[in-house]
Amino acid sequence: MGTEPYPLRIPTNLLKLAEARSSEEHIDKSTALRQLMYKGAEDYILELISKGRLSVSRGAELLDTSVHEIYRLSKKKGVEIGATMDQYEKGEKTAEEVIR
Amino acid sequence: MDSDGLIKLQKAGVLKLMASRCECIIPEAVYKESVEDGKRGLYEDAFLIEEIVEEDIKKIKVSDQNEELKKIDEGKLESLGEGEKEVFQLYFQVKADAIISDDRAFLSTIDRFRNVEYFTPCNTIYIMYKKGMITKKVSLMGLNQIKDLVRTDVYEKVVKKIKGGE
Repeated sequence: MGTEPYPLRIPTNLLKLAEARSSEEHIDKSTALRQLMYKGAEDYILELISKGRLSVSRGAELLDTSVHEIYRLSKKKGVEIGATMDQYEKGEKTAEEVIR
Repeated sequence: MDSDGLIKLQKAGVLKLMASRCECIIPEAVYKESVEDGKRGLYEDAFLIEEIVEEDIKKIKVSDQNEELKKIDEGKLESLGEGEKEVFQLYFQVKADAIISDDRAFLSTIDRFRNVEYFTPCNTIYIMYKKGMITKKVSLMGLNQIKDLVRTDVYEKVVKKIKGGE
């Protein structure tokens, strides 16, 4: 995953949280901050997938992970993904015709 | 078939049977997502899918001349990954009968096209049961395997239909 610098003011409380994580996990503060951001991004991407605003494959690309990992995360976090009832019902006739 | 369809049918234990009954094809991007990327993360499903693809599923390269993606609005296109984009292109390239996917965003994109047919892994399991290709026990076990990866209302509806012998 590529990185680039971006100017950002970070709330003091979040910096303290990053410091705590940094000493807990034996990592530097910047890494701790990036990890916290990544966790937020994971939740947001799962929400978008659940709402049908993002596909699983695109979500995996944005998180630089695999589709398998997206399924693992959605299961772990209890986020509902998959086709809607309307889509399921629409697919039934086609499945009946195609599967022989 | 996109990665979503491939992985869920594998988890449900009906991918091999499906591939032996219907001519299933995947584009290279789907193979990368479901097999290569999955193997890198040591996901067992990726290794199992690889075996089935080697034996029963054709991998097809999307033609460089394929311009089907131009039919999709730019905003919608941004919400799709490489796998779904190639599946959409391949559908027209080989004049496929249908796309198998359970991806809400992908299906709502292709829903806009009257000439694109699709069905989901839950449809597949139900129709396989209905046509006697798999037993009630196998179909319910398969659904149970993907219970956490499909919507609860859809899962409950299919289970009810199978248990009720519809």
